[in-house]
Amino acid sequence: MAQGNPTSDFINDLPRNVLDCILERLPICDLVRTSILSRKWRYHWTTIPNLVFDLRFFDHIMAHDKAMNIVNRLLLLHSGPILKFVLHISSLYSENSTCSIDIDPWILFLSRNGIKELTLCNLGSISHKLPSSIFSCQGLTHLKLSMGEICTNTSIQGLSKYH
Amino acid sequence: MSLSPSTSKMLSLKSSDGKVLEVEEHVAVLCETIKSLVEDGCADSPIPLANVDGATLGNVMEWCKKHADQKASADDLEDWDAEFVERDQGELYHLIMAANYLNIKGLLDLICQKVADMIKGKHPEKIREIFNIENDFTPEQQEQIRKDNSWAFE
Repeated sequence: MAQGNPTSDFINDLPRNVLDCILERLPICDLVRTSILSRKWRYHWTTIPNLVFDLRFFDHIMAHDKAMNIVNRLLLLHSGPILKFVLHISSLYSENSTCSIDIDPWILFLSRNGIKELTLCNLGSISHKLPSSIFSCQGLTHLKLSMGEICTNTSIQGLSKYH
Repeated sequence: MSLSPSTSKMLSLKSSDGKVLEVEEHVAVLCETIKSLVEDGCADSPIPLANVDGATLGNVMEWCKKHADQKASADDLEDWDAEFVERDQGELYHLIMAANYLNIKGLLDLICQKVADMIKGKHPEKIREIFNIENDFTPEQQEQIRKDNSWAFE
């Protein structure tokens, strides 16, 4: 480790695993915004294995179709394993939305990219059926699932044991 | 192997600048790197830590000592940690590198969260300023990136 004066550009010198550890903690909006910092940063966010679309994200986007398109697009842009995926849909959508979205392809995509922790909350607001592709997620260790708003106490740990 | 406080012996740790620190074994083994050495019976002589300077090693061991204290409550540790990370960027850099090298997950998580909090909600220009990141995009490229993910910049 370098000795001496405090450095003001330490983030540029951090090892990849440490930088990942920092970026994993950013909300999705802040994470994607790092793409504009510099060339080195442009695609770094696409390799972060956690994709969290929580209520903050849905409140930020507001429009239902737009939010779903963004999730679609980010999944396509992503490169490498996705170990954690959270989709916590705002209940506002269930009041306004008339369309039903089939998220089966997303789950199928995740199952092929190493998903371990999957959270799908308030799913009933976009879909009327449970995506059957959940059963193809062989490496799953944590699953949180709710069709309505309540999304607590449904964690199943060590799920892989039951496959 | 028992590593409880009552039976803990002292370990010598030698920093990159030659400073030797005597630390209780049950404190030092919070560093997975040191724990492996102890378990393999390779921790008799002063353990050389070529990547950690004396001042940083002192700070790291202060954190380990607090977190090895079984009497400390979760709330107490949280408050203590919040104060611990109130440091300038130079110190944070040395701590984050030491936590990574010594493999102390709790300390690494703590400082990574601190740095993430420094980024959260900030305008890209402000983030560049804080971390001295050079903007090497042309204005056209910047415009394109904004357009690609306009939702994130609204």
